[in-house]
Amino acid sequence: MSRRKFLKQTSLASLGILASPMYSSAFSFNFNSDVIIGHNSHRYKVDMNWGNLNPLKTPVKDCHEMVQDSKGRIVLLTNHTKNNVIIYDKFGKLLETWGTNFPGGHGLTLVKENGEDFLLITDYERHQVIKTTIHGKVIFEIDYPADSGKYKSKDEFKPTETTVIENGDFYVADGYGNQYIMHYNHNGELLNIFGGRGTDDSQFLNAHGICYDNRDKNNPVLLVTARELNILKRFSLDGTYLSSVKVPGALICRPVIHKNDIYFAVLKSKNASNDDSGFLLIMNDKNEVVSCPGATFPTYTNNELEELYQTVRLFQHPHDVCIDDDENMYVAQWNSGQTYPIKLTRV
Amino acid sequence: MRTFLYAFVISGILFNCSVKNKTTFLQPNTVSLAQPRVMASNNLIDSFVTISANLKLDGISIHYTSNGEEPTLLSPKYKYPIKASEPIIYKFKAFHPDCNPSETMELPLYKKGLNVDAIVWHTNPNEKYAGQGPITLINDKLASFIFSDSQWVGFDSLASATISFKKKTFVESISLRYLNDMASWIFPPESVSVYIDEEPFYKNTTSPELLKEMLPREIKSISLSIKKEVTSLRIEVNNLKSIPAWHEGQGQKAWLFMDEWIVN
Repeated sequence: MSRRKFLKQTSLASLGILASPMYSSAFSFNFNSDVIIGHNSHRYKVDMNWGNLNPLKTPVKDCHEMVQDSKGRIVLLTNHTKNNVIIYDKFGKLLETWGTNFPGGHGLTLVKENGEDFLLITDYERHQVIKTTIHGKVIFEIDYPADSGKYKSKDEFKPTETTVIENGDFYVADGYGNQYIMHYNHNGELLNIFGGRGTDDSQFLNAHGICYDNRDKNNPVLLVTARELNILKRFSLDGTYLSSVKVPGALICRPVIHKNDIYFAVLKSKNASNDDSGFLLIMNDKNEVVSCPGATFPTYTNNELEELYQTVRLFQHPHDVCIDDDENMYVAQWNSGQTYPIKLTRV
Repeated sequence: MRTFLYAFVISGILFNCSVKNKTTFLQPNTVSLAQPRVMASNNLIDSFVTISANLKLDGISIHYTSNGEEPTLLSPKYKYPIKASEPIIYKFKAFHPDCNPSETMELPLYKKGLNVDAIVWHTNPNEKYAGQGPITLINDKLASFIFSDSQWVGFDSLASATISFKKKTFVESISLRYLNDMASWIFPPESVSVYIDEEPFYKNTTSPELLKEMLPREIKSISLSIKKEVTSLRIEVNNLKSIPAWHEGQGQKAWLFMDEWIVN
């Protein structure tokens, strides 16, 4: 125990965080005896029932991803084809559903164009990326990049994520397919392709998520998760590998940038005895892990992050997080008994 | 204690400032702890091994037993690494005043086995999970929980091999170690048969109790009493041919993963 405390203090010093004893607890209780999870600056109360709906009327299968639209609504993508898109208000009230033909609906990205909201959806069963209006009208569909020479057939293309940059160009991560990253212009014409399957710096095993990182306005980059490798990789916008951020033990899904922090759902802990060993992870503006709700306190020893793992069996298989304009977080889970999203209220 | 006081004061302030709504937040004692992480310097005892246990969470205590019983808060508390020299099963469980206890984590220890002179395979493992080749099951090396660990040999059909000694050797027992990782479709074997010097000696099928529900990932072993002088043992381990109905792989064949056959 004393060794652990020592390590913790070392880590806090190296992270430059002012340490207060209260922040060391990963699982604590306030005056009202509500459970509080998380560490340091990012701590939350948990509402397990936030997204619950009548499963006979509005069922979910896997809850894959969530975004907040310009009206402040929370948009969920599930692969249940009775209602692929479920739209809630921030209090968990059902507002609207649409979509019946996204059997592999996986990636969900909000695109804002001239004051109007659009969605980019990836579907690994249709082997397509689909752009829709916020009401579900299809704008275009993109098939596998046949001319790139990287794919023998459409079945090899199983896109998991997209991200959009200011000029309307967007990138697609083929995380369940051949592990390439595709760069398209606003009209869906292929400009570049990079990555591919492998363990080299510029390659991926499960390129599951991608995100445009313009926190440094002068040096915008792409963040791509190599989930099986427990690594977040940074690339320039032209596809040049820049650097890696290792998160030992954490199968990170997609990076979600909110203000200066990066938020991740972690599908599982790499070496856990139970499969449903997921948790959440938050990095600060220096890409240092500062909080792991549901898991171990993030500790750096000699600048290396110690292995992270689930400590309380609160989450099963978190697959995506969405942070709203009140700093609260919504958690969508894959393969978790067809449960609805959970809401975390920041304290 | 100091930690709790601070938390009390600060969160009290937060509470007073916040607007109360009807949200019901998660309450204490509704969530379980994860299993503690238990490591042994080696699971095969030559003279002694060192066991350590950990769950990096404030306020927890880990208790353990070595007599086969389930650990409780009254069992010895884990404080520092344990030195063990007997082939027994250690059981660890984590407790926290505000969480439900973890599931028990078992750590079986084995006496380092007799040296086997040869192993001949009659069937082949799946090529993706061929381990370190034919000697994997007798190389005195045990695997971790992770099925991609190269000390595992994975079969999707019958696993059959003969181990032999240069001269007649008294064998007390043999332990077959396998992985139970149902989420990855890796199940306990359906049946095991042993032939001594090619004569049928033993056959048993796995208890249905082990297949009743999704269990946490675990390394288990089947221990068979031999108590005979032998020159060879042919061992046939059948994978489960039909995954039970409660599992997503219902009706399909299961994987069988083994890392070591320990002969004593």
